[in-house]
Amino acid sequence: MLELQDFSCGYGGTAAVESLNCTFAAGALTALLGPNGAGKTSTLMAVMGHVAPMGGRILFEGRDITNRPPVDRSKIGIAVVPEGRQLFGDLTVEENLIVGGYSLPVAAARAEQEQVYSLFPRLAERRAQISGSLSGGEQQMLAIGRALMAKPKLLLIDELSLGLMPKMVDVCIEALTRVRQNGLTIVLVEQNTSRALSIADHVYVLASGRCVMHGSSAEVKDNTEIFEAYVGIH
Amino acid sequence: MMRRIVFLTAMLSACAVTSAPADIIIGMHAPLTGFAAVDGKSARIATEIAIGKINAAGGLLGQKVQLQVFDDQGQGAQAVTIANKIVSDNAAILVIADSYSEPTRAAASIFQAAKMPYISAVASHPDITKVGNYVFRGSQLGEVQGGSTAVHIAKALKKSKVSIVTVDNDYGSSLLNGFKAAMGAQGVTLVGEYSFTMAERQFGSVVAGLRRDNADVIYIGGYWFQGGPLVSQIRAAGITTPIISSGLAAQQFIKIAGPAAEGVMIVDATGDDNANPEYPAFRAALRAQEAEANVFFSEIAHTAVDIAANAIRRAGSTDREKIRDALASTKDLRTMYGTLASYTSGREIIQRMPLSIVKDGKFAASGEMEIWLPAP
Amino acid sequence: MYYVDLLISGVAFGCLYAMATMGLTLVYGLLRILHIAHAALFTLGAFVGVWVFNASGSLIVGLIVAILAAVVMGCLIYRLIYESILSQPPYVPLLASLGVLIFLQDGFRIVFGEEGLTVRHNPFYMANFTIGAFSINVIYIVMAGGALISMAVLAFFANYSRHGIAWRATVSRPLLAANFGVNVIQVRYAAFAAGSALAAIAGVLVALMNNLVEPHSGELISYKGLAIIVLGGLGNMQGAFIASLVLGIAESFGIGLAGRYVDRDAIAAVALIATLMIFPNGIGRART
Repeated sequence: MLELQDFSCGYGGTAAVESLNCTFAAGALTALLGPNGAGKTSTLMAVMGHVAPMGGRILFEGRDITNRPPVDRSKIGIAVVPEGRQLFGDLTVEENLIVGGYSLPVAAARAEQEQVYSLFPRLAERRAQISGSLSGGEQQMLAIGRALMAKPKLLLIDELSLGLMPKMVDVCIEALTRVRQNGLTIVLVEQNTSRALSIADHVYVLASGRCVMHGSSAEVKDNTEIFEAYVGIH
Repeated sequence: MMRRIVFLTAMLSACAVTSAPADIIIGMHAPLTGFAAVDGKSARIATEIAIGKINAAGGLLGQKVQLQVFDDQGQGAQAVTIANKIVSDNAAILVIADSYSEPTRAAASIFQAAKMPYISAVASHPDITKVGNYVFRGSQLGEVQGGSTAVHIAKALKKSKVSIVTVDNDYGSSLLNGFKAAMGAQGVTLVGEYSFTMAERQFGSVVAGLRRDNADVIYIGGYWFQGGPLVSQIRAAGITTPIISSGLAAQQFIKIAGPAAEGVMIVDATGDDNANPEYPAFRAALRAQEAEANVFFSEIAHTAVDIAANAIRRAGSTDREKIRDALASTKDLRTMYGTLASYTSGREIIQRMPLSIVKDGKFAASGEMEIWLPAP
Repeated sequence: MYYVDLLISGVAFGCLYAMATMGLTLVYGLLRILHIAHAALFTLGAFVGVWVFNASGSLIVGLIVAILAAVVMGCLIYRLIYESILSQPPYVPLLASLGVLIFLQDGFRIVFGEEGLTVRHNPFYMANFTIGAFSINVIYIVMAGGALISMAVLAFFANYSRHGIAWRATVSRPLLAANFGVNVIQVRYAAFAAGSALAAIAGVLVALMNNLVEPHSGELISYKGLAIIVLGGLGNMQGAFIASLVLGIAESFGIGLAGRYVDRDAIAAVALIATLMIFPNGIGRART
């Protein structure tokens, strides 16, 4: 589905990610783990087109998208749940969803909206509320719902659990599990390592912008020595 | 930027001119750029026409007359720079100010100190001529216009309640002072008093006040670019009170106010009915140069040259003191603006004051006004 | 009656200011640029509108051509001036904008002449609407009506159409909006176009009222426009509309009651200071 080949990127000439090689299989949930500053968010933002590539390629469904402008990525099927939610705070819940489905035809977007409301009934109750006034959990639901509105093939999630009550994290994970049944590919950046390991199919561990280990969730869990050295079990 | 370029060009051409010592040099400053550029253009072209006529007829004292034109932008600071330049060049034998009161006032004392005869063609602030015996007026004082208007309202129009709207500058305040000084003795009372800034074009609040005042006559003192919108807005509000005005004798006023201008009386203007036999040719020359926007300004600019040329001829010399004395003894001189009977001891003109009225899109002569003079 | 008259003129001008300065709010919201050259689009609209009206005899044709001219010029200013300096500190685009304003004003001087243009057959000349002892200039009604209608259209678009919602999302988070397929560049052009069109309409209306358009006519809204967007809470459309009305009314009463001592722009400055003392973030909520 998504492949990074010898990929480097960064800000203002300073590399945040160097020579990264990752493959994200279709239908899988792949976790990117690692300490702060490891380059996880930079990797996601590069896939969204917001971080300047400095070498290598990004392939999506076999096509090179390394230098395509951000505005195209929604159309080809990539959506993001950014770090800190980043809702359109002045807009209502429903308006946020409308923007999420902006690249779909109107009828398709409307159908998708009903799907999101059935996935998160709480959002349906609050559809006319200004999104900036939602609780943290509701905001995360909306951020996920907004991304799903684009009917993506690939969903990038940056810090699902950050700042949320455990119960809200459960709700979100359960929703993700449901949408995965339709074959959605997910890349998850997560600080809460044990949570991530419990749901991920495959794991990449990054440190200082490089991939230090990868493998199936089970393999990584078994290789505790290296894993703890870089990440630390929480 | 434009202003600077025009100014530099004026400076350069002035420098080039000074190298011809055989000519008689007359200096002039006017607002060629800035808010009053239309007026400056009207004055400059009229002055050039007047001097062209003199040169075509053989010049003065057998010499050609050269004009040095400077752009004061209608600003005092610029006028001071220009005055210092003219004085230090020491080439001009006489200087004409075709400008507003602020720059003219600022420059007057410099010319007085240098004993260079200086004619304030159009600026009407009373302090200008008080600077000294080298400074002369070319047109009626603002106070005289204002006072005479009060007299006219009482005696000719037989009205008493007046609302007054004046521009917030030297000209406007001297009109207002003259009107107030004269009105008491005439039984005229002010029911409303308003002023507006140079840049103002929106008169909603003033119009609301005028409607409340319900005066017999509205007196407006300002310039065409304010008077046009103001008169339009007064009439558009359904106020039909007669309007008398000072300073609006510019064709551009009629163009802006259109039908609203009809019936507006203009103090101290003969307008299109000017009786000077040279007037039609003068207008044609202005028209040829597309400079008819403010004919009143042009007439007075021409008049200043008339006064200067007459004095230089009578002085028979380019000696500045002799020219000054000749100016002071000017008598019954036909100018483009009327007949200058003589100068007062304060170097103010003594001249009849015509009244015109806007009729069918033209300024029509409407008799003369009784002149009111401020107490000495 | 006097106070009613002052109120009417204040409301009419407030509406006009709102229409004339909406472009500043839209542009500030999207790009954080104090687009002071916007005032020149007001003048451009007025000149082109009056010129075409005089030549064609049709006010509608004049208005349409004025809008087109202002839209093209507004988009050109974005493309040629702002686009390349967006990443610079805010004073760079501000100075560039000021330069464009001066350049265009001198351009008008050269093209249309120093004395400006007058309307040959002004339909609003001496037109007033009278009920009993009460009379309003028709042009005031047109000004207020035109402003309210165009604002309502804009508000409807922004709140109820997909594209309008996407536009607001772009104001809120431009990078993220792009990730949902919103073409941020198109949104910018749309903002410049809409703001410039409104300025052109306002310019033509003021030209009809004064029966005069001068090279510096835009000064009516240039500095006042900055006061309005600060008062309205930088980039906030509803806030800017309320601020415009407040300013229009404050000016009308201020000049009516103290006009001998203060001028129009001084009232705007006083209103700005007074409001900021009470609401430090402006009347509307500032977008950050």
